[in-house]
Amino acid sequence: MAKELIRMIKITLLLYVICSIAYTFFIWGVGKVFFPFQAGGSIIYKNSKPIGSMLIGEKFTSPYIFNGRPSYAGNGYNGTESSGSNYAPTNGKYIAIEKKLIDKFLIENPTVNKGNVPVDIVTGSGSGLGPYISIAAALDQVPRISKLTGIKEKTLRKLVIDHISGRQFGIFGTPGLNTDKLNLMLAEILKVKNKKLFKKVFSGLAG
Amino acid sequence: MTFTGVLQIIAVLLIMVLAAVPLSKYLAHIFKYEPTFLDKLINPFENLTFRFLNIKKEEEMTWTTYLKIGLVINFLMLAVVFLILRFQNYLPFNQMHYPGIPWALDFNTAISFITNTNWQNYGGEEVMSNFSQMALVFLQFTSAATGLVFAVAFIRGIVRHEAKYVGNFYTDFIKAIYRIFIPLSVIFAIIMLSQGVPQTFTMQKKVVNMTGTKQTLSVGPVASMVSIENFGTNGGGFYDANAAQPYENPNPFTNALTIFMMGTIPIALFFMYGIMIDDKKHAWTLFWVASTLLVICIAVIYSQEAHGNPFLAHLGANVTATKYNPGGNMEGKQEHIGIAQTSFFAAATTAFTTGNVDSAHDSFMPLSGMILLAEMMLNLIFGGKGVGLLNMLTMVIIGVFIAGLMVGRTPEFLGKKIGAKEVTLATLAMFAHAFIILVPFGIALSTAGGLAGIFNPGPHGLSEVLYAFTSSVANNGSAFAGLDGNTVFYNVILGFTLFFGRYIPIICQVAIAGALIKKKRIPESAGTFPEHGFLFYSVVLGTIILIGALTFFPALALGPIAEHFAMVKGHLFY
Repeated sequence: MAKELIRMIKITLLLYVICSIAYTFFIWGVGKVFFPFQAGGSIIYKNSKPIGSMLIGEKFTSPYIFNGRPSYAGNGYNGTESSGSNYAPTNGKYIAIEKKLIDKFLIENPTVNKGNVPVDIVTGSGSGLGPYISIAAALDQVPRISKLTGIKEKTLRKLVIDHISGRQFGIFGTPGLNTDKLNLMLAEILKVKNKKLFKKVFSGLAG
Repeated sequence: MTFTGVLQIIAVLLIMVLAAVPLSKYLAHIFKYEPTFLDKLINPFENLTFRFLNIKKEEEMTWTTYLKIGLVINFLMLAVVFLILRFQNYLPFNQMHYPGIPWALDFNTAISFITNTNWQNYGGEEVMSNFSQMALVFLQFTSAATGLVFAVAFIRGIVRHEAKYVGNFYTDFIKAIYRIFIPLSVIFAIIMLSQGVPQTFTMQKKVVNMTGTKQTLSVGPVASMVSIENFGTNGGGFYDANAAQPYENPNPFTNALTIFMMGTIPIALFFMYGIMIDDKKHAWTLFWVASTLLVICIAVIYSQEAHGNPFLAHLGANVTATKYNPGGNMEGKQEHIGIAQTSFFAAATTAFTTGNVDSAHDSFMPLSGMILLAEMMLNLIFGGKGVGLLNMLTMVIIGVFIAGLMVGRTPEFLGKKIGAKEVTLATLAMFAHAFIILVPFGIALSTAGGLAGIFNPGPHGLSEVLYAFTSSVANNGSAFAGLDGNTVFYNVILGFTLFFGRYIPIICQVAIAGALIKKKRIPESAGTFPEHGFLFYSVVLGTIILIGALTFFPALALGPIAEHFAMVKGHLFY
């Protein structure tokens, strides 16, 4: 029996070393050699400063730029506290919050009719860190951004249409827009068009 | 529901079944100890391991020895991981100086991972050091292998007759890990890595966003965890939001790939069973039983989620899908993954009892939530590693017993007479599953500690508690995550339900194998009930639905069904 127990302890420790340590380090090594960018979290740099990951949503609430979805990750897009709202569809408190969000969207974007608010822009994503919004949600914000920044609606609409991430391999997913990428492009246009406003809105990119 | 939505689901399902066929042949070769194409690569490591452990790999064990060794090894592994988490503050890869995991949470978590459940009462990125996460990965390999080899022992119990031995636990266990889980995990971890899943020993990266907002990003050895968490049908993710966190599941392709990882081995196990018992028609019939249930579940969830929340439509949101607007119930879902794939993912994670989530199940429509609960209550729609097949076969034994009673013949199962002992054990396994869900559920609802964790009001709150016990006993691990389970009450009670929910049915099932293996094989006669074809399909499906419905319908009526009718009437809960 003691012999059997020693064997069981040996197999436990051996498999621990293989499955926990060796395996993790092996994949880490592969990442280091072949996919260093992805392995580090796909972090991009501007002016040699890290500005974030295109995979993780950022908190865009300024009216001058494309706003993202509401986030329940910490106090909004907190990269260390991923979470959805977990509200049930019949929770009265949730419906009250939704009423506020829908009304706010309608006031901020007066060209949108009641009944036509894209459902994704007033609901939280599963992690609170998703950067994507629907095409409708992006297009609906164009008149507001145009009015506030002075960039032509036509230019902004083209920007949106050009940056749609379509279905992968033509089949997987739902078309939408990555707000990180979209706003980064918007920053490029604003930088040329209105340097002062650019510095105000995109302070992370200025300087 | 859209055309492309349905197409995405059918495409992935089809690819899974097509991949499962060759995989099942490979699995059957492994457990029949026949040569495979990976022998040249893996034999040296395997032989070294057998020598190190001083195991004679052909030496076979009786079912009691097989079971005992398996269970003791499980408990040893449980202890190792419990200690690592408890003392993570003294261990490496903890740049954030996270303290040791409190005992109650640790008790829950270690049991949760050794039982292949991966119920998580914590947010990984908030409390676990990278070293602890890696320790959990160890259990993701071993718990999957444990379930798988017990299913193999059961199959041998059917195949062999007038015999004593069911195989060598060590041999099967090592082969499962070396030849199935490690190769698949390595390949798919690298694919996931290439898609943007991080793999680093850093814990956090600080950045200043383009708008000047400071943001901290949690990273770590995620890719290595993501592949085994799905291939092992574990489901315990690196992050709190699991596969809803873009780092775990960056795009729709990885989402489809995750579904593939979850489902392919469980489906292949049904086919492997067919090869090992040399009755493919029988296995295919069981495959159609499970597939029927899976397709119904996907269809209900997808239609409910695509229909959306009537309250939001009333307030002015557009929940109808158009070219530019996804529509549907988007609360807790990722926009680019979309309603179709999210619904499929949810149905798959509860069918294959993985428990990985790419959305907030708590925010699903009431009837979708009911389907998720039902899938875990049945726990045999392909199911988790090994145990899904075991549960299906348990149900088959009960099914042929009932059919036998109806025609007045001694029930037979694959040429063996089913006696009182087998039926008793099968009933016990099934009864234990229901008992361990419903009794603690009742206790939780009648104590302050249980009620304190509820997040959403009304019948949905009841569903949250029901979901917690169902998920833990079914060793699923997904949650209605609004429920605050990180209390001493829930950590302890769920710890016990996880434990008994896993091991009691397994012990019963391996005991059935022990009883079957001794039996004589009786030749087929004109009166033998066919174990394939439409009649058999109907008997098994009918048994599953009848027994499932009778056992769990009352609980479902009080939770999701009540919530659905309240919603239709326009009633909100406060």
